[in-house]
Amino acid sequence: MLKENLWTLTLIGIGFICLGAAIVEDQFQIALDFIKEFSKGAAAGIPKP
Amino acid sequence: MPRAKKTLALRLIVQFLVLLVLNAVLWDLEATWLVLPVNMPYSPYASGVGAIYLLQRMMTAALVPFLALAIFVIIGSIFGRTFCAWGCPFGFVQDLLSLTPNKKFRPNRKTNEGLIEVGYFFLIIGLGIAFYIGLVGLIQDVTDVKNAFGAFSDEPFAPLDPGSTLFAAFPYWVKWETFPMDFNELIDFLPTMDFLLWTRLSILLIVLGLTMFIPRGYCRWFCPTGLIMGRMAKYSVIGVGRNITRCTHCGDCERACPMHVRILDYPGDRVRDSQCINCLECIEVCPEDAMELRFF
Repeated sequence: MLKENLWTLTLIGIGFICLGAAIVEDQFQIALDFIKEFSKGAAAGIPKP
Repeated sequence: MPRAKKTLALRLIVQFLVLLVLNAVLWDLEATWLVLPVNMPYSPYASGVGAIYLLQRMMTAALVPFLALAIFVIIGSIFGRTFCAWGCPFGFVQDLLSLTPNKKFRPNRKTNEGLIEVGYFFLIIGLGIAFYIGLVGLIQDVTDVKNAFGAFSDEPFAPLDPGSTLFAAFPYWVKWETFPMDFNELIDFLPTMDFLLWTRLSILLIVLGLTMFIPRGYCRWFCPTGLIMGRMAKYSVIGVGRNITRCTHCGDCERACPMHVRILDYPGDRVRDSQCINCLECIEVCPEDAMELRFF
């Protein structure tokens, strides 16, 4: 039980470190750019999925 | 087989709403950076995307996929595979198809474990290709390597993923290419289809057909998102548990479970299984109220 809880807390910690790095690297904007590349907004130049 | 009708109905409604939200560009809404641990590809109408697709795109673009990893690890360690049950668009399609009133098959433990290993094999191959392309991109011009991998070069899983075929490729073919929707035109078109298109459609049809006999078979064994989230689900904050003082071992929970989790094999407390998607159907069908939602 304690072992599982420690794993849970460790994973959450690692996740938030990754989230912090993603914010610093502005990866939310990169994710949005990837989505927009495919979405209808790209009009004629829509890449093939 | 006992069925948790209320929970299933609620789940289908929530899944459908998530499908609408993730394809909101269809309703002329703006694309967002919404990233969820579900099987949702980069579709022409995507307003959000599955974390596995972002992970592949970032890796092949020679970026460290911090955001995709954060989504997997944070959501996985808190909610486990809850999004597989309540938010996955391809899971929604599979759940609908598993409502057919035919006999369902329950593969034995050895087959189940063997197929999970096959799924991990494909996962490692797919991520390996993405890592290799990203690594080459850091060192030199990646055009030749991308050409060599062809359709697998940006998202190695996508060409063989039935979710990608259904939600991304199919709408694209219908709207922007010449995939005929008329039956007679379709018959003429079939012999002209290229090998990849045949393969993608075949995989999609086989997976959807098998789902009617083995509910959520794809989620259990081959879905890369499910396999990654399964590793986290064992240690998630939220999950189902079995009260062993109330349980009479009637087995209704196991028979109702769409993922065929062997709930009674767990000695008590939490059901820490990589296949549990927190659909909560076991809670509804338990006649002794022995199944409950647990935290930690």
